[in-house]
Amino acid sequence: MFKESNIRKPLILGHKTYHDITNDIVNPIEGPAPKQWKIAFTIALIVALYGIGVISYLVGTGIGSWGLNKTVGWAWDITNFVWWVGIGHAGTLISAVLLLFRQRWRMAINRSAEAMTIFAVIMAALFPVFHMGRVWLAYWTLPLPNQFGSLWPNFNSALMWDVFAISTYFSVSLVFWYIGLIPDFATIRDRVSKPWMKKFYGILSFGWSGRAKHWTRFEEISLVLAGIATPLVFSVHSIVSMDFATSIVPGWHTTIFPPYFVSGAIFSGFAMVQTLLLIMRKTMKLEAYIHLKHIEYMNIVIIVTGSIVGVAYLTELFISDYSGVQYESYAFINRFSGPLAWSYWCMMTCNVISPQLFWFKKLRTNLVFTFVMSIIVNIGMWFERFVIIVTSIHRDYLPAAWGEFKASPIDIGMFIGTIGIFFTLFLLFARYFPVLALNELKTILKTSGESYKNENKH
Amino acid sequence: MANKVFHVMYDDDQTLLDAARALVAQGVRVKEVFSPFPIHGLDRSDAHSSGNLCIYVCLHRNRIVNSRYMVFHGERLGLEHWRKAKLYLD
Repeated sequence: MFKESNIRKPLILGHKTYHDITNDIVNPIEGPAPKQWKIAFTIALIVALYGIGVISYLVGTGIGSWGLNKTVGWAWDITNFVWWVGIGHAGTLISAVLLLFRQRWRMAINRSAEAMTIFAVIMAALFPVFHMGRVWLAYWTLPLPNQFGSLWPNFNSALMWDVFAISTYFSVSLVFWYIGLIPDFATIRDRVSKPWMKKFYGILSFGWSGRAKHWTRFEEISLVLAGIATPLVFSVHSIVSMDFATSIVPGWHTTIFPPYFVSGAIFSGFAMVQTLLLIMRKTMKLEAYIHLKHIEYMNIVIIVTGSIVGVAYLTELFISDYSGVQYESYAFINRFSGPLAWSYWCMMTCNVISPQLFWFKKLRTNLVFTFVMSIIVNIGMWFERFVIIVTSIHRDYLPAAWGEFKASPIDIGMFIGTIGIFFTLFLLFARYFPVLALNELKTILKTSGESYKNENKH
Repeated sequence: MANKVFHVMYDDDQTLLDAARALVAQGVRVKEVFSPFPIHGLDRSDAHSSGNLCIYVCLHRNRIVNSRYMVFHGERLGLEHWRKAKLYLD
C-alpha cells in the first residue's frame, strides 16, 4: 500500500469511512433540491434566458448591434472569448497535469474543475460563432469538401487553428470528464430507488460493474487521456495568443504572448475554481474533502502564475520602449496614459499587486479573503484581455484612423448572459452529478484520511 | 477442486488483498474481483486468470445478500454493498 509521510496534512478530514464518502456525495443527489439551490438556479436561469434573448436579437439584427466600429473591429467579443477559454484551463491542468504528477489533492476538486472547463469552453465558443454573423454557416470554418460550403478555410490564419485547438480541447476534456464519471454514476445507479433515476444513471454508467479489469482499464485510460490533455493545456491558449501575435498590430506582435497567455489562463482558471468551490463546499457540506489545504494549494498556483503574468506585463512594457519602434512604444504609452488608462491600471492592480498578498500564509488560508481575491483576479484577467485588444487597435499606425470604443447594451447583455448560462449548467451539474470523484477519493482514504493517519502515527 | 465455486465478500480492501494472495498461494484461482474503487496490488494473476473464485468487495449497511442473488446479479451488484467477510458455498 502507498504510504504517505505524517508531515503531510491529511486530505480527508474527520473520521470518514468508505460508506460516509458515498453518502456525503450521493445523498444531495437523491434528496430533494435544497432551497438555496432553487434560488440560485432561478436567478441563473433568468440571466441565461436574458442572454439567449440578447443572442437572438444579435442574430436577427446583425453584428452592427455590437459597439464595434471601423477602427475597433474586435472588442468585447474576443475579450470574452479569451476570458472564458482561459478560465477553462484550470480544469485541464488539475485533471491532467496534476494526475501525471501524482498530486492526490486534485481528487477532491478535479470533477467540478473539469465541469467548469467544459462549460467555460462552450461559453467561449459562443462568441466567435455568433461573430460570424450568419451562424448557420458556421460549418464553413471546417475543411469540408467545397460542395458543403463555398469556401476552403485559410490554414495560414491563426483563427483557423483556433477552431481545431478549441474543438480538440473540448472533446478531450469532455471524454476525460465523462470517463471519470462512469464509476460514480454506477454507484448512484446501485443506490437510488426511483425507477426513472435508476434508468437515467443506468444509461449514463454504461453498465459499469466494478470488476478489477475495468478498474485497470479505467486507470490506464485516465493516464492516456492525461497525456493527451497535457499538451492541450499549453497549446490551446498559445494558439489563442497567436490570434494576436501573428498580426502586425503594435502591442500584439509579441513573441512572449504564448507563455504569457497560458499562465494568465491558469491564473484566472484557478481563481474561478476557488469562486465555485468555496461556495460549493459550504452549501453542499463538503468541508471535510475540500478544506484549507486544498484552498492553500490553489492559492499557491495563483501566486506562481500571477507572478509570471506580472513579469510578462513588465517585460512587454520594457521591450516596447527598448525596441525603439515608435508605434510599439506608443501602444504602451497609450495603454497606461491614454483614454483607456483606467482599464490598464485596473488590470495592473488586480493581476500584479493583489495576488502577491497571498505570500502571507494568514491571507492565503483565509477563506473570505480567498473568495474576494478570486473575484478580483477574474475581473483583472477580463481587463487584461480588454486592454490588450481594445487599446492596441483603437490607436494604431494612422492617427487619422484613431477611434474610440463604447460597449453597446448587446455587448454587455451577451457577456452577462454567458455568465448566466454558465451558472445554469454548473448548478445542474452540482445537483444531478457527483461533484467529487467519490470512488477515486476512496483510494486515498487510508493513506491521506485524518483518522487513518493518526492511527498510523501511534 | 475445480468444481467448487466460492463467492467471497470482504468489507475492506486490505483484507481482500491479503486473502486473495493467500488463496492464490494455495492454488485457488480467482475468477473475478468486483470493487467500488480500484484496488492496487491485485495483479493480473490474481484477478484476471480464469478460475473459480469470485470476490466481491461490497459496502453495505445491513442488507443480507445471498449467494444466488449475487451470482445472478453479479454484474449489477458490488459497487455499494459491503459486508463482513463471509464465505458462501454454492
